[in-house]
Amino acid sequence: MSSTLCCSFAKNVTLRSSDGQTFEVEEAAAQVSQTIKRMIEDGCTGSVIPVPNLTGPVLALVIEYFKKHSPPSDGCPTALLEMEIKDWDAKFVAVDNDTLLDLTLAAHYLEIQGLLDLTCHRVADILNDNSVEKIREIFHIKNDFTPEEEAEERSKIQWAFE
Amino acid sequence: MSMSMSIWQWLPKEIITEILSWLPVKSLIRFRCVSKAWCSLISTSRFIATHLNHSLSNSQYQTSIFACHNYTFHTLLLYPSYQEIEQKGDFFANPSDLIELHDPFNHKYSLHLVGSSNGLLCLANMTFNNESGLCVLWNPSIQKAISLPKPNLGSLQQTFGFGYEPLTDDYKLVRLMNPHDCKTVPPLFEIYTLRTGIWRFITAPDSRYTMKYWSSSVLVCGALHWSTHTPRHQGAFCNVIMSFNMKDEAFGEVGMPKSLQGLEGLDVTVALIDGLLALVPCTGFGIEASHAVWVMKEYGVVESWTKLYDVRIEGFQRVIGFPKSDEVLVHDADRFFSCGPSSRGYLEDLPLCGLEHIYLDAYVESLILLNVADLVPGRQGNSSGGS
Repeated sequence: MSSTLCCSFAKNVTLRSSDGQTFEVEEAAAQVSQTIKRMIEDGCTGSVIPVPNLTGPVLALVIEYFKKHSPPSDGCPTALLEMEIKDWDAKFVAVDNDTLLDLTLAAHYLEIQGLLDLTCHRVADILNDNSVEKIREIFHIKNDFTPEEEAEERSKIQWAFE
Repeated sequence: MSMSMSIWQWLPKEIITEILSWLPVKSLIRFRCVSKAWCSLISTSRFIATHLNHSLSNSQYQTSIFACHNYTFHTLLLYPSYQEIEQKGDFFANPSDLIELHDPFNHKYSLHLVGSSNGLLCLANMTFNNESGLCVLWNPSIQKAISLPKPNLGSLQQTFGFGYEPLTDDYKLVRLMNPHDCKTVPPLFEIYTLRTGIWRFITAPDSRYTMKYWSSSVLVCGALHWSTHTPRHQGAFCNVIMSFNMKDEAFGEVGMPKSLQGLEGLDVTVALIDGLLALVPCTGFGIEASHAVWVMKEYGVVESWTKLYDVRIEGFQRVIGFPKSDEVLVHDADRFFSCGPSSRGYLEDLPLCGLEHIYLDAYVESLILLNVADLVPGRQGNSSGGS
């Protein structure tokens, strides 16, 4: 990424992914991540900030999210802008499961609450229609109910299986 | 199972918890059968609270409850969502969308919906006797209900108020006895909280207020509000709103608009419009009746009462609520009206003629009560399928 002209007042930081790719991003935008915010406050701005848990392509996506969600320069976000961001968010997580998993883990690692809510909500929508058996398969969970216990549990909540 | 689904197993436990907290209630109840760990996780107070916050932040899950009750039909009706009301423009644009919820106890009694909060409904039995419980807390979305213990005093001359208190994370039910004839009998006040599971007496307000039995209440700014007036023939007459601070459990009062304070015989309904305390006074009788809608723009400041509009319908009986700020839902002897300052809609074909205790409030599906056995030892109620 080329450096901006000298007339730009925005301070930039450089982020480096696990595979050595570097990205320059506005400091205010990067602070959407609580983890990066703390690093900047601890004086890491002079050098490159390492982001060892994220590969280049995932970090590139996260930076897109930063840019969309950085605080607006003129203060209050308008209702129209909020709607536009909501639409953008929905498209942002309409991705394949592998990318969604990467984004969820990135949001967790970088402490980006908005992105974590967004990705978790999306995963929940995907899981919603699955059966109990399928959920066990997906998460590799061992069923520790005895057949009698499970039958009793299910009989109490028959309505939830209809 | 597709290969790409199995990747979810690599997620840390805290993220799986986060994902589950975005699921609809019905799926979560089902997923309690996945394992013992999931079953207990979904039932913790913390999970229930996180799930509720997510549901409240998601307009997709927010609906409104429209409840009717009488001796013949023991059902509550749930209207799908505010969004749909917005789209269709009228509250009753499509009455077939109403979802029926069945009374969990199949009571032979008449249950009055006292209030609701976070998807938890509080119903009181209007035919209280020593054999039956007085009050029920019911969460229709998890199909679970509990009967509350008997209060300290049995009396049908009563009024209730119900709501959620966020600081103590508790649901509180206030009961006012003999509020009508307070000139000769001092009124008594008691409270039930879900966390303690018991009724206890509370200090009465400093002033005496008179109100109708079974008056409705609204929760605004952390306090319940009832429309009352000072006892007749005891000093200067004044219409006033009695308040009850849910956190401090202390009574107070909020002044009515100056022009309404001194009007004897004024019938006033308290309401909630866009989060603001509202009043719907009815002056005159029969065809002379005239209704207005007022809101208190700044809570507690009498000067901030603002009249929004007049509602001109001859002789209607009761204001039920405000689906939108400019739409009031009213109930005549056997009809419903939804009307605003410039429009009026009738509902003739809702199969609910002659019903009593009509109630309208916001509703959200929640897991409240799922862990209540831990909170209320010796509860009397039981869950029961209603489908």
